[in-house]
Amino acid sequence: MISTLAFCVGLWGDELRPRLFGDTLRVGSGNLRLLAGRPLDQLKNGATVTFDFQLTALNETRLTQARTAERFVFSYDLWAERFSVVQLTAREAKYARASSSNLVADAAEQWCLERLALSTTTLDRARPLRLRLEMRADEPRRAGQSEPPISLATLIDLFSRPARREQRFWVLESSPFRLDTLK
Amino acid sequence: MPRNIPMPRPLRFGLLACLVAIAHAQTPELNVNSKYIVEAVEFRYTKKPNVTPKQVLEIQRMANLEVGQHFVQDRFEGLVKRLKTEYHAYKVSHRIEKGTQPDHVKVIFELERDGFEINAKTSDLKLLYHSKNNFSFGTTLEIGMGGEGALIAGLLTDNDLTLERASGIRGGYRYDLMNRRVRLAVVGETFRTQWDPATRSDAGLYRRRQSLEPSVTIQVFSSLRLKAGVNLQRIETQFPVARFESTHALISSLRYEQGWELGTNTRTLVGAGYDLRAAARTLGSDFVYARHGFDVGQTLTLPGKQTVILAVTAGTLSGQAPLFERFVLGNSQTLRGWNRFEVAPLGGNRMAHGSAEYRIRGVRLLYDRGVVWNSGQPSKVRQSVGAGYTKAGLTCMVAFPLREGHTIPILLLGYNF
Repeated sequence: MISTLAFCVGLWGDELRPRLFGDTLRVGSGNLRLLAGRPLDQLKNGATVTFDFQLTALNETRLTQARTAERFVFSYDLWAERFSVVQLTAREAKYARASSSNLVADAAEQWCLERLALSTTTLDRARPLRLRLEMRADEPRRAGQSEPPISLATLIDLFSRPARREQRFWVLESSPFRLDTLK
Repeated sequence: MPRNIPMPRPLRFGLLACLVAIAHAQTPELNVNSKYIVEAVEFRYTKKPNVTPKQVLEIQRMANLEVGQHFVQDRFEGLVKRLKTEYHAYKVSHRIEKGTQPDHVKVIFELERDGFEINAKTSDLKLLYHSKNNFSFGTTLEIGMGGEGALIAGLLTDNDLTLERASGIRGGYRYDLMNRRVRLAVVGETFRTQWDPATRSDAGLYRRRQSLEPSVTIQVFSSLRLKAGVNLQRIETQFPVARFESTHALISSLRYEQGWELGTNTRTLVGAGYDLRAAARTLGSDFVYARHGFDVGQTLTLPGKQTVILAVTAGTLSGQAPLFERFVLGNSQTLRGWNRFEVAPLGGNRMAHGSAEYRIRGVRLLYDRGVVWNSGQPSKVRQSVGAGYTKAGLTCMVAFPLREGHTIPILLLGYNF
């Protein structure tokens, strides 16, 4: 527990780089390091590991202005020695899994970040904002439970509760920025 | 006017298959390793689990069904769930490794002993109703401590095997070494005794006895077991005055058991044993004696659910021994048509007994013949016959003493006697 906390505190304040693509805000980070320790051991043992991501835009008083969440399932190809990721989040009535394979660890993590898109339509472009990225690794799935498509509301609800004691979690935050200064 | 033209059945199925294939192609497998073929399934144990071969075979059969198939994580997790049910004291995990052939994987189940294990051995559970001696009951629990050690706890009230009714509790600890070839154990017992009127007239009765027995058991070969230790007992006498006396004895036993397959559905199990309990003043004992016990038996299993059981026991006791060491015949194991207080209310220091039993589909027919006496005194051989039915450890039996004159049958009901 202490080591997990120390790890999370260590990540806090790492720069999360916001990028604007039209009306969509995305993030980049060169330092996620999700695929290490126990999750990596599980993957190399042939199991799948689920990671939940939540990206939140906060104002100066740290009130939530907008947010989005995604679920990704990682696996590790034993023969190719590369990672594979499947995105599980359902979008309204339509549901289609996006996936990518033959990725090294960094590329797999970055692929997940690229899938996180925050709409800026409700955000004030002139006021300072801060982005916060939370990630949680879940235990391997229980026997017989298929991984269902998960709704955005369910994911946001998951992040509204504290992480379980045995659950690994990561938090990254950006420096303050304004949308009208982003390219 | 347009008319609906029915689609031919093969075409409909073909279209359905295409749709399923397209849907499958659009939903990638969560585990990328599902494209590989399972080459083998292996089970690795840190300690040999305490499950019956039947359970192991069933689980391995389920696992082997996956060999040659694509790896499907859900199916193996189902197997993990099953394993956790069967091997409840074990931490069960599985992983996959590259196989020896390209694009093949091996699935490895690892079972590691974990945490507490409560193991109620049904062989230790005994429940008996004897029409002359009323109820006897006994059970022992072993509570695993996560490694090779286990706590032992039990309770019993027995009015069958010795001259007394002993009611009390036992507790102790055992520890296995060298891959369970060596067992260290210490067991303490405390009993309160009750006596039959036939025995009560004699001096040497006691109202309580407590014992402590440290021992070591060595599995010399798979068929030969040696046990050695010390039995330290303290008994609280009733007559002529209440006082404590000690019975400190060296104990040792040697037991041999071996089975052979004699053909299809025919096998035999032969067992033989020798027990020695020797108390001496040098051990601080108030009683000095040596008790020797011998037994030989054979169980022959024949086709058609038939079994023949032959058993011979004998014993000698020299010196002055407390009543619980004296030999008894006329209980649920010996001379089953007789009441032990009728045969020898104070037991004897010599004993010989033989029995033959035939079982077919649970029906039992038996013949017992035995003698118990004191050395230098006349002896009388007694016989009895009985019939009963056993199903799943539950037995109902009626046994008759073979003698002239009026005979009253003995009714025996119970579990595991």
